[in-house]
Amino acid sequence: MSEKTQDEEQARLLTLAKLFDLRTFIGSLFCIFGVAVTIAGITASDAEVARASDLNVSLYSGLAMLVTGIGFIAWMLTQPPVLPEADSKMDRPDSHN
Amino acid sequence: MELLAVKDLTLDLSPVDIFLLIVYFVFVIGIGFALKRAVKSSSDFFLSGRSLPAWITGLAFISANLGAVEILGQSASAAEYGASVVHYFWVGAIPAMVFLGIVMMPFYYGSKVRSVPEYLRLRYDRKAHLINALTFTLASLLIAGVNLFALAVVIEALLGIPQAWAIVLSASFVLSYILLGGLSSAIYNEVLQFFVILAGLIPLVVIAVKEVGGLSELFATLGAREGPTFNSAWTGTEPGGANVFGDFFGIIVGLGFCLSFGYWTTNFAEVQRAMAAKSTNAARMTPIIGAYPKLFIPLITILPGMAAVVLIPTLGETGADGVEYNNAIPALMDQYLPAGALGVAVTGLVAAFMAGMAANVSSFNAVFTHDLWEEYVRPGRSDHYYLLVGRLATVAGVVIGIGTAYIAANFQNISNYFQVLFTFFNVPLFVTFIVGMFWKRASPNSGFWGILVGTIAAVSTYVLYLQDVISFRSDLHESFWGGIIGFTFGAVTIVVVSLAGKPKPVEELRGLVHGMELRDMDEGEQPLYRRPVPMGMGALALSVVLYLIMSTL
Repeated sequence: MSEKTQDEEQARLLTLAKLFDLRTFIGSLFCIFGVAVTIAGITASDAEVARASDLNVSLYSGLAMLVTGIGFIAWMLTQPPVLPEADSKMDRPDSHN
Repeated sequence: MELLAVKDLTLDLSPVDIFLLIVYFVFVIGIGFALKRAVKSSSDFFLSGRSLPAWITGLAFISANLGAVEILGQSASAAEYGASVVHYFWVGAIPAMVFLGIVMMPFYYGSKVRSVPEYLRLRYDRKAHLINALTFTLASLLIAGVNLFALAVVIEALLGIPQAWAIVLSASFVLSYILLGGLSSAIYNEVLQFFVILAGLIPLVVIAVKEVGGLSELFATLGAREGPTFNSAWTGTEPGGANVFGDFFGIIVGLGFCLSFGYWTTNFAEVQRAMAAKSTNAARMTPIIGAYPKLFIPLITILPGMAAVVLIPTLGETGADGVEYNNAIPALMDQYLPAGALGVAVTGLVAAFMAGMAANVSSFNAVFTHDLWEEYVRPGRSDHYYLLVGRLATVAGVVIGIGTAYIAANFQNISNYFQVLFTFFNVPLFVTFIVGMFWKRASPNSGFWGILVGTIAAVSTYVLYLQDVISFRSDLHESFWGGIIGFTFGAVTIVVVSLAGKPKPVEELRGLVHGMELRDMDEGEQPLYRRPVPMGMGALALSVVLYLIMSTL
């Protein structure tokens, strides 16, 4: 395997690892939930708000979920997953402590 | 567990709520498919290849025990008995989780066993191993069925989908994602579910507390209405007092030590999550990281249960408008949550049920494959073969779970008694572990007898209580003392049998007994937040602080 394709393979694996990182799942689910619930909050009727103890819960919890979702994605991007398997195979084949 | 509502609780779901539910189900299956490529060996399937970071296994650790049976059950107990239910968390779960992380995990993880029963086989003998493997697989299937049935009842009550459909539908979701991604899939979904349940219940709790006029107002109202043992955890726990949880000795030693240590440290559905961690340190940190959110779970289960006593006037009443205690949280959702927030809460409950069932199925298939099939039926086959057996066991487990769900539906009392029985089984099991880990002299033979005699003693106590030969304040009070009695009989039996028999050769105890750990336990190099001992002590200190804060309310 040439160095170039090895690098490409590494990059491909890293993209996959990022995509399948648990933080990506939580982050994207919360972004979708956040947007949908925020919209429900913006369009909530006065009667609904009054029933929920005069709080526009959907709006607040929607925004909170959106922030949480973005937070998880940001965490994943700033601390990307490492590739332990590729690491041990390519760099140090016998160093399985 | 009688969840059937007298009052009609069918929720008015708007399109956005249904959209949220569908998105969640797509994610659940998506995770299964995404993780499918990572499952190449039986170790990947049963133990996630021992590769997960501690924050994931830690959240999965508590999430596996945050099924809807627990959420609805704890809010129901809080509505019925009041603040004392926090003992299950602050005296019960927290110390046990810290103990598991600091003291026991090095033996589980360090000895590289693949399951809790496997430790028993190495430390004692095949008799002890077989009795644990069999009862654990039976209990998992039963509990999976109970979870499934509870899920179906709630789905029927809230969404109007017929029970039979709900059972088959949710079982097939659980089946498909475990089949695809194995334990990783179950763990990922548990962590996802954990955040969704928080997002669903926190708004509900905020509204409920605001409606009753704040925390101190709630406790004052409940104290005036229901009496002082209802709004304070320790009032009436002196001998002869009126607290239904019984006396403080029973609470601290029976619940806090015997029952909780028994449940949290020997239940493979829990320990398996820690075994999936990527290093000894991550495995030890798993229950300790879990302990911190666990400290605050009462805020989303017990608190709404207590608030419901004030906010739902017909709670606990029978009759046309009566609302079952078990439906305290669904009734609050029905009463207060608007479109959007309601969808998140419903999704959270459904997710919790599925996660509860998945935890049982994913630990069942591991014990069945390694501890029953590989050990006693077809030893020495290829890894590929056992991976296949694991997948087939998953299918069988879910199908049997559906069967037990129907049994649970028709014989609710029987399944309750079985659950009590399995609870008693955990305590002598814990004695066997703890003595085996700390006493080199404990003989191979003694483990089996300790488990057997301890279980018989605990069950006998229960039977004598049912027959009115001995009296306790309540079933709870009885179970704490049953735990103490089971522990004592189990311990004495192990000592007597060991002293009469031959000890295990010292070289066979390597990695299994205190003082002979295989791995270096020095944690000095790690930053503070990754060190099990100080973090564990911090969790214990916090539970004392929370008791103090509650006593000022």
